[in-house]
Amino acid sequence: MVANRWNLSDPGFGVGLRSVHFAHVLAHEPPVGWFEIISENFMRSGGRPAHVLEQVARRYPIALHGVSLSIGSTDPLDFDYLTQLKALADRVRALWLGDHVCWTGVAGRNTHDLLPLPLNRATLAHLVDRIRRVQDFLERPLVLENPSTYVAFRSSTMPEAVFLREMAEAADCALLLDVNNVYVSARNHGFDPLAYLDEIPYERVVQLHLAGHSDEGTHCIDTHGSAVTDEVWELYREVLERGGSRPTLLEWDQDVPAFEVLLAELSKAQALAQGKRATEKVDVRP
Amino acid sequence: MSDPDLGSLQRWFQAVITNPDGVEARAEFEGLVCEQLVRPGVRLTERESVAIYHRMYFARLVEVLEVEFPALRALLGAEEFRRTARDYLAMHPPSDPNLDRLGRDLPVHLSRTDAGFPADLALVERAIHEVFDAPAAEPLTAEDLAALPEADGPRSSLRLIPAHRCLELTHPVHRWYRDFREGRIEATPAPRPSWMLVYRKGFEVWRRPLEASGFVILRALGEGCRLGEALERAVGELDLDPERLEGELPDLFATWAAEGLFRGVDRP
Repeated sequence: MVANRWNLSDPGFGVGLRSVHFAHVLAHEPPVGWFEIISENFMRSGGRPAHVLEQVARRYPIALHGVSLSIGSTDPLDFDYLTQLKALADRVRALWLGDHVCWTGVAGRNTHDLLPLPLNRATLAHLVDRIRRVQDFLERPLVLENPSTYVAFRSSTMPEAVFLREMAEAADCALLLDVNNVYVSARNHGFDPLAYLDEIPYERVVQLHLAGHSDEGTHCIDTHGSAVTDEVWELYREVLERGGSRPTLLEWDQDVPAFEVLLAELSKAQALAQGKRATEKVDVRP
Repeated sequence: MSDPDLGSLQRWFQAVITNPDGVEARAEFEGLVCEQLVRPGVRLTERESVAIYHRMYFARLVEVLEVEFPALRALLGAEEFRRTARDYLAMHPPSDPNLDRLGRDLPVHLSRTDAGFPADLALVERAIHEVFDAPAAEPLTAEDLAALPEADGPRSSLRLIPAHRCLELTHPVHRWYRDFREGRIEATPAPRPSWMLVYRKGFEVWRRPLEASGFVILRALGEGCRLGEALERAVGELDLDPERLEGELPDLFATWAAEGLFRGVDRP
């Protein structure tokens, strides 16, 4: 089955490559299909991280996932950054190259956060133009992720999933559907995550993300610091029902556990992709 | 109020979430008002929602600095370090896409606030951070250097590996830092000039105290001076006896070569 319109390969189930696991990965070559790296952590590194990445890239497929493209910013595109990004992608023969539907700073600043955009026609036109220019420069499709958001603007006129679909179609870019982010944003803004999933153009989804979040009572935070919750597993199952199996990656960035814990989480995703229910059915609606 | 354009909205949002005094201090900024721009969350007010980004901005960046400057944090204490880091971020907001540049100006920031030993410590920790990530280079061996014709020596340029920093300090930091690495926090030493070489051998970062002459010679070589010029600079700046310095050179260069500090020779 062609899972996406670019015929990008399906490496299966992977995890984010983090420095605490460098030695384990090199010594044991754990059974994961691929690794995802935070692009900026390796763009200028020439020491041990660069050496480890070179070794890992010889043994596993690598996807690049950035946090500083700032595709939604009103600042000019940073072509020095894009040049370094392209060089890194070539060096590791990246599966694909991703970032987020967000902005990270303006007026020459970088807040190092994935900041929310007003979801309306003007923002859509702004994004589509920039995505097209970046794709022309990088000579490959961008894979853009739905971020977790904690603020919604009054000037937003479109549901997020509709915005993403129209953006992806107009810019001819790919999507990374972060299932945890759908859940977190649904909780924070009170929308129905299943209705959200109904709007996603799955032929453009080349990757899925799973991660843990914290529930603060009044809101949820996308922490990447714990196991995937039952609600997110349920939403993942709903994604698989709608779009079929997709390359799936587990993110864990805070209190990173032993690699075996990551493998155990991945095995739940694999089981769901094979049609087996890993958890009891739960209601995911807010 | 009509909807602001995207650029105005982004400038407002950034100003609010990066303001050290909190969301309230900038909730109204350049004619834009939080409640007119942001929808309330399911269980949070408009300002409480924006405050999540404000908290995350400072928490994330201070944490990056804590990881990069553990000795400075130990010296100042967690609370004072956080206050210092927030002052620094207010004066030097990040602009680079890569977080590895975040702490680049902290040593200078501290030196401007009259903090002698903390500034020295920050300089050492920043150097360690930069050297760890610097590009790799194949070093020359001691044999490579020994093969250099004696007559060519003074007119040759010795190129240093990128993964090194020569530091000029106002306090003797080396021993204090070594104690810190071994789990001891000693009293701040009295001011006294000292010099340190931070370099990477393989993938490990090392520190080595330098004499003033070694510092001046390495700094000059790093600036591209020929060997003869570097030695002349040391003699001139430090008022050294040239013959005595010449006598010390073989050991000095043998040590540096053994540590893999040189990556090439440009002969005349």
